[in-house]
Amino acid sequence: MSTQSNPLEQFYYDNKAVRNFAIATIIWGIVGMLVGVIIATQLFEPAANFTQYGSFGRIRPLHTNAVIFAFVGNAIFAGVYYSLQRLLKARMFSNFLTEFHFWGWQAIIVAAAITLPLGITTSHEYAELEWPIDIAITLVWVAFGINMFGTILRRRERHLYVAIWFYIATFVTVAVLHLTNSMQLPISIFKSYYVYAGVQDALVQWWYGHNAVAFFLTTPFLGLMYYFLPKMANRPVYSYRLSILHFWALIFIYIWAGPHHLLYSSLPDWAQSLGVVFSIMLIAPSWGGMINGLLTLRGAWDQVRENTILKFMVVGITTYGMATFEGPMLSLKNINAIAHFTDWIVAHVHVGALGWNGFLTFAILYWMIPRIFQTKLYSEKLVKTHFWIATIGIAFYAIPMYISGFTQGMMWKQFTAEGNLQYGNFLDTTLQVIPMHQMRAFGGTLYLIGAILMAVNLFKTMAQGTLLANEPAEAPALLTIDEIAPEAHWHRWIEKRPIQLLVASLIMILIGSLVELVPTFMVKSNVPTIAAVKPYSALELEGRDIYIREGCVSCHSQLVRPFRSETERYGEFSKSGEFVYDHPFLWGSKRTGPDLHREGGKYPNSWHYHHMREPSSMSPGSIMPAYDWLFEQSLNTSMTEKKLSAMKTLGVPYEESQIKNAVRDLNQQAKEIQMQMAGEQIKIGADKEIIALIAYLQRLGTDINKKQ
Amino acid sequence: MFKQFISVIPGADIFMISSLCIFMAFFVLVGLYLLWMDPIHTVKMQHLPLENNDFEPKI
Ligand code: HEC
Repeated sequence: MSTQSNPLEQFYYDNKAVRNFAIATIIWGIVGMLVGVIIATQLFEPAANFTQYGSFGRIRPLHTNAVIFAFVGNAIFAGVYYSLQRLLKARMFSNFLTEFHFWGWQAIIVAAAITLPLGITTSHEYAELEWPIDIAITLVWVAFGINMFGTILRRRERHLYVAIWFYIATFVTVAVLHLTNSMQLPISIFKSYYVYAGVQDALVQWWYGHNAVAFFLTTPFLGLMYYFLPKMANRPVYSYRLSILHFWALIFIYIWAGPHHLLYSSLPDWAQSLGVVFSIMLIAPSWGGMINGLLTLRGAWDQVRENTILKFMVVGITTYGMATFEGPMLSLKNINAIAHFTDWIVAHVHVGALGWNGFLTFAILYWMIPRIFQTKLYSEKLVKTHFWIATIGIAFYAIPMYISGFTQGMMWKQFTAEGNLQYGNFLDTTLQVIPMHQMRAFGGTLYLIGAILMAVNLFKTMAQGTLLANEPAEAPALLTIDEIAPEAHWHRWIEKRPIQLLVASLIMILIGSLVELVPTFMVKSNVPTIAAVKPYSALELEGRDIYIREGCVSCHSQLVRPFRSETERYGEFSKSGEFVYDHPFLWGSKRTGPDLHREGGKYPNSWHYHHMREPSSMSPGSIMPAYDWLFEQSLNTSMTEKKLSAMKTLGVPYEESQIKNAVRDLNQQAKEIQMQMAGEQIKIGADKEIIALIAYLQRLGTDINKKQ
Repeated sequence: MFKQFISVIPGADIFMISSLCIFMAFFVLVGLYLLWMDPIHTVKMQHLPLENNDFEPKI
């Protein structure tokens, strides 16, 4: 280590940005949780689906996007802007980029809040926003990256603390994930098709989905944990070595685990197995992180007893440990066979989200706000109340969901002594878990009330203090690399060189990604084609787009797994070759309603007609929302031709004549359905949206039965 | 029946084997580094977050 040093320099930390992101976190958090409570209510009280703009399928993505990208996203930025400046002893690189980042991110959130209820969605989970918003996200993310790296390059502390590595890995990986999973061919400003189809689309989506959990909900929060926990407890992290091992192992292993979302699907076996193996290995780094966090508090448990902020941290880190133990267990094929598509997954996600992300966010806000406002918390007591109400809320949320998930998993598979399905009517399994869903909504409401208490407390705190917008600090400028002793150790070398660190983490995540994705893409024979599988007709394609718009995929899967319990209930299991024209795939991840892959021909058109208008008329007690607007709105066919021709560009073998005559063919098929239903005393215009949806539902999964 | 589940993709083994090698090599390197890490340096790194004196509210 060198003893030389430069004279002290004066500079100012930007606390205004921290304040802005913190306020956005609080407000969006409450909005997102409120929408969560609404959709939870809709699952036992379908009357809570107000109009098409508030129906479950459309606002469920609003909830997920709001809590992930608005609440957690802003929390990450608030924490990163606070800790990065202080760890680097430098102000954020550019005031302009900071403002651009903040307002750009909020504008994206507003755009999401407008487009999702309108049914403008790509249907990829956690990536629903349409392509113009995707581009905006890219721009804002790049601005964040430049701002962060600019700060790193102008730092006054040579060594990059491990928290910053986590931030860097977050930045790079999210960029790669977002770009890869946003490859869409635009049809219009509000509509696009993914370039990938079927199995490949599914693989890309879950490689993305899983790693969004890893690199948006996990790595940035681990970085925050490594900074804020030592600060809060006023003691250094338990083991710096462990934190390094934790970092490299986590980013290296996480990226491989995506296929565990697709077990027993038509994804090739080897990719599934790879996903399982790496998921199991993930326990090690995840628990390494948890243990490092908890042991940081060794000998300080008396502090924890008195300090509610630390209590939030302890519970948060513990739930992280629980969720990261459960995750690998859920990747085991035999457990997955029961848990997948059930409420178990919802429970798993929320233990992580409410416990880990929520509690860490609360703790960090409670810790930061009084400091940048140079005051103390308005009410310690309210913090305590928040802690208890939120903890009880999590219990009320998670326990019923575990019971519900387990019940569903078991009931779906239960056979009678004679070898028939015990609960052949899917609805029985839905009705069985309704009390659990009511309790879950209660738990969610408690958690929301806690967040509102926090909002009151923090806004009062802000009001009683004054923001130190520019906090003075001083530190000597960095000596250049030549000035310090050249004791070269490779890791210290990397600790000093942010760009190399970026490249190294990029390589780490690319290895896993490529091994997973490339063979599936390169080898054509990977998806055996089935000659009988033909592209959708124009009407069916429009019907499919309505299915996407209404978010049916959030309650219905389209993937029959190769179990007897499923083939008995739904029909022949799904083959990868059946999805080759599906841009995007619509396998879904949750069965609130039954699988629909073999829906075609199961019921007459009239059944669907009545069911879509009033589900409980056909299935008494059904919790599926009614879709009355589909009976009033006329199908917009102005894009039909363009849609077919876009599909052709993506490799769907439409003939030129099919494209040219798309609207004519569409009208003809619609007429046929109309006439057929007229025979059953149903009067409906052939131009109504419902006709297209029925055409699509009747087509689903029927191709393999066709004679050549 | 169609040939649906493919367990072997020609050319995929090289991905598996090379990734395993990279994986092993990488963790051996990180392991060795951790073993040889200078304890004084560790302590310095550990204390980085504690260097700034934030405003301390009187509770
Ligand atoms: C809130 C979750 C939810 C949403 C959203 C939803 N459904 Fe359902 N759906 C259900 C449930 C639960 C059932 C089982 C009870 C019943 O038959 O109504 C069901 C049943 C069905 C069935 C009958 C399946 C069978 O074989 O018996 C069809 C068809 C269907 N839904 C189509 C749709 C379509 C199309 C959409 C989108 C426009 C949609 N659903 C949206 C929950 C949902």
